[in-house]
Amino acid sequence: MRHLVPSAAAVAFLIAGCGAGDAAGSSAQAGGTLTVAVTSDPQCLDPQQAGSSDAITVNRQFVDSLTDHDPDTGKLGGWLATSWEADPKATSFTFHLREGATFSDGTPVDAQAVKDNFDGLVKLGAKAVQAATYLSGYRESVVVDPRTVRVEFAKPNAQFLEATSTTSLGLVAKSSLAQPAADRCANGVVGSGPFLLEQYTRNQQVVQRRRDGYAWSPARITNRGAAYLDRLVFKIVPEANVRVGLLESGQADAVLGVGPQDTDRVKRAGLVISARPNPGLVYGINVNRSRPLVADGAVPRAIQRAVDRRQVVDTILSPDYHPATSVLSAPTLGYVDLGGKLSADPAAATEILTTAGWVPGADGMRVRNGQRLSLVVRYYTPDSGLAQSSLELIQQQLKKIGVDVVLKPTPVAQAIQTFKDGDYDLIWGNASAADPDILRNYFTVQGLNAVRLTAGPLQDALYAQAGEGDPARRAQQVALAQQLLLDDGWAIPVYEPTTVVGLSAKVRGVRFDAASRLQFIDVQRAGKGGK
Amino acid sequence: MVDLTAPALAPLRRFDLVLCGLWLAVVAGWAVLPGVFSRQDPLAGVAAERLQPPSLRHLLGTDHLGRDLFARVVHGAALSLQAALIAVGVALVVGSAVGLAAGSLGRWADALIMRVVDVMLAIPALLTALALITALGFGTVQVAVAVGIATAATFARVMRAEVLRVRAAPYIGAARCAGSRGWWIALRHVLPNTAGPVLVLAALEFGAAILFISTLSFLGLGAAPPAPEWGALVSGGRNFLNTAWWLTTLPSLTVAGIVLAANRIARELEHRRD
Repeated sequence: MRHLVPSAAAVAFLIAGCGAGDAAGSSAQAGGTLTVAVTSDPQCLDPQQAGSSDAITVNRQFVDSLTDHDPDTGKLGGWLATSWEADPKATSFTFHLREGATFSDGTPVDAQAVKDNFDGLVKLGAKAVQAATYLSGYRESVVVDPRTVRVEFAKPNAQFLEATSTTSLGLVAKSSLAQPAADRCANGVVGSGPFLLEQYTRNQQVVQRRRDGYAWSPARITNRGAAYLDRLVFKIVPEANVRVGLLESGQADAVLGVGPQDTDRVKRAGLVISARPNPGLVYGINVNRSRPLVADGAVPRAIQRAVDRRQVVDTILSPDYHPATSVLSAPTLGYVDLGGKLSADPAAATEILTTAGWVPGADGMRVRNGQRLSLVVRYYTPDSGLAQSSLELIQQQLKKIGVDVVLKPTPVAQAIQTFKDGDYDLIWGNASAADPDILRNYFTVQGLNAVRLTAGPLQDALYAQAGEGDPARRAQQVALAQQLLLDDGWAIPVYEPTTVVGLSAKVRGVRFDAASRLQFIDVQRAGKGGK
Repeated sequence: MVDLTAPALAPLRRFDLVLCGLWLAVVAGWAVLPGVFSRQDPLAGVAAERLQPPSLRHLLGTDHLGRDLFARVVHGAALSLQAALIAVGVALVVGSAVGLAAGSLGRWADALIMRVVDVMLAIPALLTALALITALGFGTVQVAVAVGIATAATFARVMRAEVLRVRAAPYIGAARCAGSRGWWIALRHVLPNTAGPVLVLAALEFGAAILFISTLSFLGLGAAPPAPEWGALVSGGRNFLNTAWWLTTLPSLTVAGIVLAANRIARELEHRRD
């Protein structure tokens, strides 16, 4: 919970609009255009198919979800559904929908629309990669009455309720469901969200327009009606320097992906940095235990103690980031603080290696039975520079205990194949998700199978939590899984992924949702609105 | 415009030539004996000394992990120069062989080979190199071979022109009358007499090869980090343009200086030959 406090403070700060922005003119007003610089092209303007973090931010504005996860309290609240019930086995969920919500083509958001969406998502299959994991075991949706829908699963799906708050399960109109998947990506979809697509120029910008008459924002949003802004322009600016330059020169009002090297500079210029750790799997090194050098677990356990997470954060990142204290980041459901296990202790690491029979070799790296302790770590490119820098620093830290690490940059387009081939000892990565089921999706054979997890208490815990309808018992399984992942050396967490946003002092009301994506319905600009 | 070929400027021309030569000799020294030029570790940094501007202790400053940038530039010379040599070597051998074959075989074989060469020339070399790296995989040697093959077409064309020129010479006719076989004439009589222009071209291409290889390593296709390839150094500093100008600027200037010097010397060789 440690991290929720500063993030709540940041949001409060933005709502109150104190500081430079307030002095400039308290006459925040409706209208105007907000320009947001994002790091990459969204590639797809269908929220149900969008994958990358920036794509989800762009798509978040088009659609609403059944439920809303409050980032401050961690509680699930109503959005398109006002209430819901789940059976204790987590196989059947009944949603009661609100009155009056419509898609932007005028059709109602009713039980049939919900059913059509879930049926359509299952049909999209691997094209809706996030949704496919959320809906695993989906059997059918039953329209009980126009305002009530029951979603049924063939096997327990404990994370489904949480998943209904995500952009990936945002609802689109029937007219969009009828379109081929590729057309939806290229032309956008008809949603019920506070903004509509006006224009999309690939690799340049996405322009969104306010939807007038919108009146069903989640309860935690102050603005009960349509968005204040007339337009929202997402400019695609891959270079971190240029994004910061746009913010400084006033050509952008908000920028995503402010690099740690630029945060001081942004603050000095009187601009606002807003940061929130992303829920999900933290950045770290995960260990492919099917490989001989790490199979017995001694080497990963040694690495666990040798990695100095504090040094990584202090050297490469900024104070907005935090060293990992578990495989899950603090805002994730079910997170437990295991920071005590993750303090750097090179002496203990050396001890583990020596006990396991690894002795210093000719070049300083350890050897056992004539085998040199050299591990291949893969990471995906293009990279903002943080993965490579972190790994270069960890490489130096591990060199001190006699573990050689070879960096292998791998194109992200080959990610699926890379996980399938398993041609690595270690893999760097993270995954955003509000629900701890991400652990099952990342580590077990039911998902990416990144570490070649074998049968045992850990696998049992990961499978059990997925089917556990009782929150308290589920939390126990999740806590056990986090502990075993660290103790047995499957995962070596390093730092918490963090969304760092730079904002002009004139802007207020930019909000993070629970997944640390931005929401713009509350945004107002101080002074004269338009551009 | 000052006419640099004016006789009065000859000493000046000589001077800049000497300067270029000295500079390249120093860079070659970096490649062979990096330890003599920099005693600091190019791979292990001191976190406390991160992002320091150029100073006497760190001639070119330090990077975000506290590594001495001068040490990295010096140690990067071996990788980058080696790659350039391999690239030019591959281009020279492959290009010359193709050009020699085209010029010697003549007729339809010539037409066929040269059309393929035309196609190669029509595609930007960087694009060809990128495609080849996709097939060959990442790494310094792979990048070097890809650049070599991508630039071989230039050599093939120069070689073929030279072969056609030499083949018209009377001594070739004499050799043929003496009963020498075609391949023997090509290797023994034609090849040695075409070497001049092709070797000058190789010198010229050397500078271009360094630039090519730096470009590809800038794109992250070269040696795996933390190897200090020049292109990777320029690329690694990009995020710090706002805060640590030296990280990108100084390695870039180094590469620019080397390419200019190599070109200057190659041009001189070209003039001498003419």
